[in-house]
Amino acid sequence: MDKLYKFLWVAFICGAGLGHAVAQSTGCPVRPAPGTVVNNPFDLYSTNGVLAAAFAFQSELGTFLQECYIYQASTGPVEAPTLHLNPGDHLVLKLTNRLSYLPPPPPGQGPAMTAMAKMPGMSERAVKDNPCTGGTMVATSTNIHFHGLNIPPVCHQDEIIDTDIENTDPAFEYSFQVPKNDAPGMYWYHPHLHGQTTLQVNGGAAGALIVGGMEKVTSQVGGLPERVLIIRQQFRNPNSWVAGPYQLTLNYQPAAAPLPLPVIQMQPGAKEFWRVANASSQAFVTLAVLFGQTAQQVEIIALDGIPVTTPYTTTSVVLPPAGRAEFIVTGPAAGQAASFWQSGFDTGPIGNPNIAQALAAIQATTAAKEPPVLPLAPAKPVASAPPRFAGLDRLIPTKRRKIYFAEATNGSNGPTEFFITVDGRYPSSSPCQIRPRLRRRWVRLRIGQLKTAAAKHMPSTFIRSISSLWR
Amino acid sequence: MVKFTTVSLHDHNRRRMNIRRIALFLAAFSSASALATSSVGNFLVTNNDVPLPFPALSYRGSAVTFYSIAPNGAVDGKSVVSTGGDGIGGGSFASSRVAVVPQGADVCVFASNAATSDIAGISAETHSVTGNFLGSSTDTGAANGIGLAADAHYLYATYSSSSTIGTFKIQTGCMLGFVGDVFAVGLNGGLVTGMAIHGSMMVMTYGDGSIESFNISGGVPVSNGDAQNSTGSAHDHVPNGVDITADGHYAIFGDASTVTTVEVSDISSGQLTPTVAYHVGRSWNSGNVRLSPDETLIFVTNNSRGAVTAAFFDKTTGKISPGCASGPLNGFYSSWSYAGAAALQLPSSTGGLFYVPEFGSNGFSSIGLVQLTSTGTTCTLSELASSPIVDNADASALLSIAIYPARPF
Repeated sequence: MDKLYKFLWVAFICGAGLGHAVAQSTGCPVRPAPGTVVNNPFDLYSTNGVLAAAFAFQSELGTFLQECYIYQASTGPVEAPTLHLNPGDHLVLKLTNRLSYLPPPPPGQGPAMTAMAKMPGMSERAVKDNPCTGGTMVATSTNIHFHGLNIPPVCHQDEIIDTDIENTDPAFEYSFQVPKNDAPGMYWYHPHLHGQTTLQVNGGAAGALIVGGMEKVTSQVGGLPERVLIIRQQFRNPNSWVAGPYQLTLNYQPAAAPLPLPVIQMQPGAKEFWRVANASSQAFVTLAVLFGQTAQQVEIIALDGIPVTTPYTTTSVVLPPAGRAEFIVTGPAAGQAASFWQSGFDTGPIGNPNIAQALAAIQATTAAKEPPVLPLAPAKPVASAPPRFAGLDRLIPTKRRKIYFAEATNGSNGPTEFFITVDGRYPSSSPCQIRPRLRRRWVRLRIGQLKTAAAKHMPSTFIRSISSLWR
Repeated sequence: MVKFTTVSLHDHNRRRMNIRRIALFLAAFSSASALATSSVGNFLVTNNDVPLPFPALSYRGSAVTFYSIAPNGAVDGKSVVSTGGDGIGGGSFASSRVAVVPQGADVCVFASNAATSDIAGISAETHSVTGNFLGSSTDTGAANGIGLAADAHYLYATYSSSSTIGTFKIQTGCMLGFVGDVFAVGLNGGLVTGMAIHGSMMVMTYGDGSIESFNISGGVPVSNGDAQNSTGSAHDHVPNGVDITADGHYAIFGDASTVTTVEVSDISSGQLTPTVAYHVGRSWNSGNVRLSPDETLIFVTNNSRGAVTAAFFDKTTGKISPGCASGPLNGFYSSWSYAGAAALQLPSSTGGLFYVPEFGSNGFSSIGLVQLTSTGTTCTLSELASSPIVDNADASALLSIAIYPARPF
């Protein structure tokens, strides 16, 4: 129904533009107005090997749902700052959950059928007031996943199955060390409470986490201005699992014609190091930098937080939900028309439309304030531990298995159950399925029907399932 | 036309006699009407389930499309009729969104409009809408559609959002009169999904693994108190579509499943009994089932593989044995993505051609044509070279079609 949605969007976006000005209210920080200059998210850097910070997590419903990580900077509250750490650094992050938004129950069902239902497979809190023991899955519960980092899936680090922080709990402390052999690059953090992830991410709860040192492995980024861009979606109906009208945003600024576009200001002809995350729940984007209508070469430095073996140039970068790309952009000459563009992506016959659109206008001006620059590359190569997974491609497998995915669905709108199995086994046993309460949020990952990134929600449960099959 | 003025109101004997004559005349007229063969020829009708807004249509909102069916099964003579309501462009596979009810010389087509939660009555003779009929104010089907099933007297509607079953009295002129509704929900919280009726029996699926039957002898469904989880549901085979044998002995369920799974329940006692599950193929999802008119075969739509499967059915024992399966039909995945509830060309024998609604992307659906060849113990299903029928002007999201004349049970 791609064309349908295009029309829905046009109607929606035209209407939403008028309503945006009243979308903000007290609680979450005010998000940037349309047509303003795009700034990097607020930066938090580690000091002496430690980055300590505290977030409050709140929600409010205006034209769009806003679920916001709030950091109290000295200049006032800011939303979802970028966490800068180095390999080996410690992050100590206190999260105080004060979410208040509960989505309405499905039509025709009473309050008993709302999101208060317990998720199968999850336990009630075995120990009262212990968020590490699992709990009821409600829209005001949360946890945080540090996407891409190679840290242990244990409570207070990167455990997302049983960590259940309620909105009446005291501050919950995340504390972990970034592995010394973690690759420099862009990671991101977001809620990962099963059954509620989409709602919270659609509300904007996501931020960047950057492991420093890229200039040590890829010298050409040394000394370049570091621009952090985060693409998100905001939905009119944030709780909808059926694809509906939405706006893409760039650093929380709507990129939705006929609203004025976000503006990226650069010094004329300047080289910048762009670190772009797709923190949307559903949007696939194909990124390009256009001068006029012509796509420019950008130099790919890292993908999904991992530096590429050899940097290369390209005119387009595909980013699925949760994907990150880091690349060098050379800006336009003064006065030259330019834009940051998403040229669309075909997700298959029943996939969401991902139509071409501008994400920002690029404005080359000597008045541009460039973002902070990366350190210069070291004069000599720096000795370091072998990166994680080094040599994996050279290992000889001792056993090969084929893994199959399948689905069972009641209709074109779901609900859909997803299955995984290995050769010789029917995909029907309980450990292999994602339980019903989960499937409601994951309906868009129609394996076999859609091109899918098996996006951010999937791996942990799938790995658990695979593990149970192989035992 | 009957002229009452010829009856003297003061002559009781003559009056009584005349009344008796009138009654006899009316009874004879009524019987003749009921037995009359429709002047409407064989046709196929689709519920296009068109949501709003949609561009460049000559009609507003959703529509049904009529095709005439030639003796060889070819379809032609397309006629699009606006339903006066709006669809949602998809939903449950098991919800039949269009029902056909003969009425005198006419044939009534009832098509649900899920977004506007109404049912359009349409005369197949005149291709005109007779009305848009609403249930109660709480009957809504915008989530996954409104399923329909009808006998000569009542039309039943399953509203997927409110999970209610609406009962409508079928009136002359293809009109509906709302009688009442009941709330029905599965044992595991599922909403009304698939429905079949036979005599005084209604069988319901909830898409959550549970099933239930209702007594409809009084019109409005009354639960038989037999709600249960199907046998297959223990292994994640979830009953969706349902059909009932001509003698009302068995209810047959098609499952949402990773393999082709069909379940059978003996309902001869007037209640559901534990189902027996049969795996009759390896295709994904088997959400729609349809017995052949002679009840030797069960046709299954493999919704997520874009294919159809036929299994042999023993109507005496209720047992099912594997038959044959088609491959994915032409255009699957590239131009359409789900197969909907299929219908049979003929009301006798094995039913002739098999028409498969093909739920398309970009609002363009098609209808697949599949031919069965059976020896009684083996069979093949092959798609015709002329398949599919595609019409890019309909902006349809096709999951439901119906055929007239329909199978007699």
